[in-house]
Amino acid sequence: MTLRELWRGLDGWLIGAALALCAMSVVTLALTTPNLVPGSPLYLAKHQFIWIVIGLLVMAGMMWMPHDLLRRLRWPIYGLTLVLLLLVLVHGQSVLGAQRWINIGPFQFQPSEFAKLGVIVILADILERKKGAIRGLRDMVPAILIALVPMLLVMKQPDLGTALVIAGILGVLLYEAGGSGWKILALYLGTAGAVVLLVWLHLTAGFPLPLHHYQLTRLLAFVNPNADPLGTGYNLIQSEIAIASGHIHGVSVGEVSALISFLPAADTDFAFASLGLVSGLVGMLTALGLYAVVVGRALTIARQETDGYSALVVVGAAALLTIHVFMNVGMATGVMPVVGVPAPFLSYGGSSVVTDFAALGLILSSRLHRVHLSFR
Amino acid sequence: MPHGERERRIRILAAFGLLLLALLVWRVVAVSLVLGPPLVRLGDQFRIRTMPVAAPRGEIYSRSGKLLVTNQPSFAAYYFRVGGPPSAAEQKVLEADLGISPQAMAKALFIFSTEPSLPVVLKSGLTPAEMTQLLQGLPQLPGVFVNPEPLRQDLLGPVGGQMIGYVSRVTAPELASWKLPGLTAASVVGQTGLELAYQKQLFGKPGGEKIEVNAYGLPVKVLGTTPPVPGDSLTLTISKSLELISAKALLADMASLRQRYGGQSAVLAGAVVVVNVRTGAILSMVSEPSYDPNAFAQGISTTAYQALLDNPGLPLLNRAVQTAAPPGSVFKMVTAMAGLTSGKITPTSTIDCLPRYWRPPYPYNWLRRTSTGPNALPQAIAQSCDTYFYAVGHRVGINAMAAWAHKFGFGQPTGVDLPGEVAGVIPTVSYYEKRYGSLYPGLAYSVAIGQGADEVTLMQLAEYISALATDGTVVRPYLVQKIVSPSGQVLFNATPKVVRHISAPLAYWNVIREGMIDTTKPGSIPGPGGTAGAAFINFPLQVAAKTGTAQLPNGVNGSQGYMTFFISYAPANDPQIAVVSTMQTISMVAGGMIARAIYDAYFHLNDPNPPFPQVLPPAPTIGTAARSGAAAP
Repeated sequence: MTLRELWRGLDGWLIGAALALCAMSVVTLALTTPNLVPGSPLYLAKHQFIWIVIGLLVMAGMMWMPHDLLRRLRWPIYGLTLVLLLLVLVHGQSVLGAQRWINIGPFQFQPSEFAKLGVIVILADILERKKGAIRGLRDMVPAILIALVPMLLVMKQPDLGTALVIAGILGVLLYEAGGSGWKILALYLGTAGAVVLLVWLHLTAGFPLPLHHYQLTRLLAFVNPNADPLGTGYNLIQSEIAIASGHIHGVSVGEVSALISFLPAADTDFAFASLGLVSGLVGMLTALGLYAVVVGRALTIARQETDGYSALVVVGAAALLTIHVFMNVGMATGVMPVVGVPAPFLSYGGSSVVTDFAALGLILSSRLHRVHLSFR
Repeated sequence: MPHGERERRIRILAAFGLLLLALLVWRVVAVSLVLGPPLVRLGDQFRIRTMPVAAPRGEIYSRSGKLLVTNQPSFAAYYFRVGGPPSAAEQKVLEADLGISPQAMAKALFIFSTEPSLPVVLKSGLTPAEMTQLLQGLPQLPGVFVNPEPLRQDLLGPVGGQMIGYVSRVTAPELASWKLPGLTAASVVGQTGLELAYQKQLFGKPGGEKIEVNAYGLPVKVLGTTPPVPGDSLTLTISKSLELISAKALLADMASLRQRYGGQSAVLAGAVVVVNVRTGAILSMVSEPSYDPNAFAQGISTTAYQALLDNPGLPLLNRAVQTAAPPGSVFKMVTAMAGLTSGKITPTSTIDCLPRYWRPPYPYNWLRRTSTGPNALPQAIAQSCDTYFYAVGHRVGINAMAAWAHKFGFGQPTGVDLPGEVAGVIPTVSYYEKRYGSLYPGLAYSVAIGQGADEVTLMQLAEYISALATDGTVVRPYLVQKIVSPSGQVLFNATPKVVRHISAPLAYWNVIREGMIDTTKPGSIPGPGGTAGAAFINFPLQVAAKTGTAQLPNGVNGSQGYMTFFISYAPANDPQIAVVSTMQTISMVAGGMIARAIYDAYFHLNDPNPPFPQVLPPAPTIGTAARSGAAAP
């Protein structure tokens, strides 16, 4: 395959929307973090730009790689994912109470981001083998078990957000592979109900829970953020203040630094709220529109895919992006608990940006190889 | 699975995705336009802080326009509660830099539990060292600000401290009760004396500086400033030089008595008041021991404050107005007037002045052991013959004496413009009956010489002697002559206030005056001398006076104690000013020397025998003396 063919395989809308989001990210970072590194006002913006370039290269690599090859490598990929997650637990870098990073040379690397891709690659295979014959819970069990292992590992870090993202991807893939929507919904609602019951028992009767205290308080703060506005509800209130301060067009450049200082994790978890502050409702709705374009194009590509495995991979990648968007924006606007999931292409961070572009690569690979074949 | 089924499921997923998108769009719009704005206002409470800019309190001037109380530039550290007390680390820095304990912090925060956007003052009057340390530490101390704050400065220091009064940081109950514009927990208010009496005029109107801060509590920009309006200034009736002379003379007399009677405990306390007899304008007012109001303005330490409370001389008390005591013999002019007007005595009638007045079952003694023969009223006053007045008291009765005491202003506050003035007590027959069940024989004798249950204040005695000087004009004493706004507008100008005219034949006033003039006549008793003669030997001015000594039931420091009074006016033939003084001491005589020193200074007499020559300079150099320093503590 030549570079020219690779270029032709690019989906203009998809790439355009993703790059537009990247541009918003770089501009927002430049506006909101001028004082982070003294003497280097564009520090984060520049680094994000570099990660975007690296992400594009990773995307090209993933595009070039046919899904067949990925499918053959599914176990080594899955195995590597689990090893990396274990490595994090054994001697990872701890940041703000969560052990999520491992050092590779000068870089810090967050294996939980890549774990999501690894899970897609192997789940698509397991589910595709059912050839649509997923009748009951029994048929879902192998896929659930495969997803559960990395979920438990990331929860141990603790990273509740990633575990929920993997659970979401699992649900979408179970459905797309032929599972009954109602049964899947019942399974998820039942699990959620059980969790609520356990938390209630924990709070009223001291029932032991494998959740960290901060995770629990965040869940509870989600229910009532004003109960403790300076504690766990603080993040959400500050996020909503940032969004509302931005109003329609965003605040003026001079006002940003004072206002942004109140917003925790403004460059990562609350990147969407940062965007709201600097660009207002206009910027936020534009970003949501661009996400809709990315996911819409991805689903179109999945629909056109003839291969069952490839279609599941593309749907999985689209689900990954969608769930990230929903959880991040939902978190910033108070429809989701604060669980620390990055906004695709908007949040600062190498692992996250590269993972998002890798997901794009998985999607575009389907299109490229289909296009490629049709031109043969 | 057929391709068609896969496509259908993707469409359903896409629809589900659109549903999520719609939810997010709704939520983003809702937060941006509806749910968020109230939170923005909440956030402003943390982001926008109003730093009150204290208004300089009004200045206080002497009668001739000399500055007495002013404000000096100073800096204070303020703290905004951003969501609770400072963290342990911040508390550590605060304690190291400013010595602010967690307890003090908790107390400061308690005061201002009502208004989260207003600061509390951590420490005022920062020293340069504290300023440097604090400014370096500020980045680690979100919520701590350093701002200028005028510091009250009383240039007289402890001289007349109780009259000027002190200011201190407002307390929580004061914050609630004072209705002053712009009053916050960071404000300073008057607590006693003139600072309290003229609170509304002196306070001014604090300004404010709206500051935007970031999450670390560091100022980002000033959003707006309202400049403070200084308080109105007061011009007192007080003469600065006379005030200093009064304090020096009082302290010198106290010191000489201590020297003579063996030690500090011989004199507990004393006070002096000088008034214009015709207008009631107070020219000086001192009460010793005193305190330095500046110590309060700077934030007095607990130990220093406790020392003031423990001092047996009660330095916080203004002995001119806030305490009353039996008047002793200075009351005798009341008895005399009651006798004269009732016809029980005449200006020329005499009564034998015996050492003992015998009315069964009790003998009433006079202090002196010898008889001075038949006394007419002037001699009885000048030599303070108790037995003469026992007889007069017996003849006129308790109620007649009480009625005359009331006419002279006893038993009621004088209305002087100072807080906490006590009314004193002038008992009538029914008062004694209520208190003791029945009158014991001879009570009227005690009342006649000011040793009954009567209690008077020094201020009332000043009003009384002024009335005696002016043949019956009772004027209200006052301290503030003028109130001037910061723009120079005169808001108030005091005019003398005549409370009442006591009508009595001029002959009666004159015969009493004659007795009071004779009081300062040198000589022995028996003989031509008066009780204050020794203090006025070779004095070039005729002074009318009366001495008084009342026994105190509880004594002074366990030994026998007296409340001595000396009331006087001069010149006797053309009265201008009155000098009254009191002392709580084991000595029976005090005050003449003080009055002599004050008259000497006021009338520029060049006294040939100045009292306290080692302390007080001769008269022509009053001005320099006044400037050269404050009295001893």
